[in-house]
Amino acid sequence: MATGAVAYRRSTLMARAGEAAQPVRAASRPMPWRADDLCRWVLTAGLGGVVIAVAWYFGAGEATFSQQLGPLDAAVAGLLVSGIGNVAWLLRGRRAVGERRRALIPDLESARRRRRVASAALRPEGPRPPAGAVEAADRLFVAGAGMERFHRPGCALATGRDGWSHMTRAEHERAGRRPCGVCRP
Amino acid sequence: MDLRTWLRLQWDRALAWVFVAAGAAALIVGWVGVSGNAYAAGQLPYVISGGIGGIFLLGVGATLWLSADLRDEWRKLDRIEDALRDGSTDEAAAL
Repeated sequence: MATGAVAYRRSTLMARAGEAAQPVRAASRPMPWRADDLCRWVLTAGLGGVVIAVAWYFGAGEATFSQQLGPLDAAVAGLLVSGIGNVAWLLRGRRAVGERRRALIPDLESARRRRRVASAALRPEGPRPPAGAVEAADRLFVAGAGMERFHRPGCALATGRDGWSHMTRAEHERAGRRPCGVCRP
Repeated sequence: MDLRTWLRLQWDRALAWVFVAAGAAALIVGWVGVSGNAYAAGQLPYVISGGIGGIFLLGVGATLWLSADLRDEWRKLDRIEDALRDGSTDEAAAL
């Protein structure tokens, strides 16, 4: 476990070192947050810090405890504002990373489930699909015009792509396409 | 890897450590100030500056540290996407 953590840390260090030598990728953002997320976080954290500093300034200038309660309340409010900003910033980044990971890496469990359903449909005792329907669906792969790779219809990289054509492997290969590295058709 | 290179590559974690250290120092100073003062009116400014201010700094430091982890994961997804685009599935599997 510790070795894995060290290896992961080393790989991220190497990635950061390599990043300096490579041009910035145009396709993706350099970090999970957008500029408006950054503005919101800086504003909320900065506002919280300023409110705490101002509350301390006015609280220290008061002579009695009851007069200091107002600044104390303001300081707690500033802490809450900055906390909400911090949590919102982290949740936004976590959601962006999760969405990208789901788009890139296929859901292996759902792929296995689909395969199980397909094999159950082929069993003699189960309800039989129309003759050759499963085989035909298995034989057809999808790709967009001008794309270099073809995918299984259920591939995570092909979901939500309207207008992609269904063709056989041979037709895709004649068009110069190669199999997707994720779904491996 | 020397310190300057580490700071350039891990600036977010270095900044997080600075905030965490400042927060811990503020908490200690606040505790010393409160314990050395017999009156509530004299203690409250230390509670605000040392206590609440220290928690604020610790929160910002923790956020920066967790942001660095998310950014690392984002870069790793960059490399996976590059590997998939280049077709080197072995490299993607290794990632």
